[in-house]
Amino acid sequence: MKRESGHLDAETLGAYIDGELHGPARRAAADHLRVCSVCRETASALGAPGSAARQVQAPEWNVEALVARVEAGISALEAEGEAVNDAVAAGRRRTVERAGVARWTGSAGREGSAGREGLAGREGSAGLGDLAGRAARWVKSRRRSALGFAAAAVILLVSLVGAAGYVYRREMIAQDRVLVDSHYIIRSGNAGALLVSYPGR
Amino acid sequence: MAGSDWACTSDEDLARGAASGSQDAYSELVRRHSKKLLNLAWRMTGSQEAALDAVQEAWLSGWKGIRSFRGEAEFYSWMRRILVNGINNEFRKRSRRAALVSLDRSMDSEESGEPLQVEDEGADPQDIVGRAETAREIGQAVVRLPDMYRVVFLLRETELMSYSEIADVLGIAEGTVKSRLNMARRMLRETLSEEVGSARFA
Repeated sequence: MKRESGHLDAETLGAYIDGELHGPARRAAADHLRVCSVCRETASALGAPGSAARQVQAPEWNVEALVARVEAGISALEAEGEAVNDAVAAGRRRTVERAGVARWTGSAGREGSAGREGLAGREGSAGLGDLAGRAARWVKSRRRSALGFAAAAVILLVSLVGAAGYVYRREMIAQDRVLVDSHYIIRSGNAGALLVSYPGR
Repeated sequence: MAGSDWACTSDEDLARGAASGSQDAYSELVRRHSKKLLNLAWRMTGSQEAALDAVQEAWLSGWKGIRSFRGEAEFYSWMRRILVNGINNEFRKRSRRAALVSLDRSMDSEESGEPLQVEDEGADPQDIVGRAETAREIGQAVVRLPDMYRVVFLLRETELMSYSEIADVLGIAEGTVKSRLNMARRMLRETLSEEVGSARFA
């Protein structure tokens, strides 16, 4: 891509020095650069900031301190995860439970395959055993809490139905009484007794 | 576990180990790749403190997402993408916050008083002074570039990434990479010719 002046534009020159021009475009640029000192100069000026930037020496980093920070952060993350699982085991919150299930099925699924491939056995396998044990314990505790939950639900349902039946029956009886009573009251011509007998109704 | 125990384990195997819960395997990855990530973060943010925070954050995100590392790319590239995206998000937040504050001022506060260090080894003292001076100036000029130009410039010039890799990491078109890079180079050249000119010929 040449400008009106007959020189290559900066973007093309930049792409050329970056090795991002291919095929005929690259050959054309190379041909032009061979004969044009103005473009050669522009190209080297374009490359100058980059090569200067590469010479800026980076600071000395304390990588071990960073490793420690990252490890502490991960421990905090994991502790958070375990707190979630504990809440699940206690069967307190269903939403948390769902997140926990996803977490565990995700890691347990991988665990098997990675374990068989025997990554870097040593420490890894201890971690895996521990993980598997925790998963098993969690499933067990979850089963227990699910049973408890189901029993509680059944009891609640039965008592609700019973209570509803009782209330309904009482209401029916009361209504009957009102009908019967009002029949006699009306017949006896003492309509005011309705208000006295049933002030709330 | 000491780092040397993992010496013969590949990044990919370490990542697999981390995915199945081994924090030690992950720590070894942190040990291996932090220096390069810190250098990149430091060049992007212009501050050592910000670089440390950004890289720490990136490693924590990496741990959370380690299962999505499938080993198609190199582990370093995978982490670099997380780091660059994290820093870019910070930039975006900051530019929303500081929409009315002038660029110069926000950059000054960002630098937190840490001057860029400069190479001080070499043979010819005259040459060293000249190179060190240019390097220091370029370092400062790069930090003063608007975020979107600086990021593209650094990924190209110090990470030596191709246009398509940069486009992929930043989620922009290759043409945009090209034009931003061109813009960054032009701005740096102008800044440098001004500064060098005023310093040498005043």
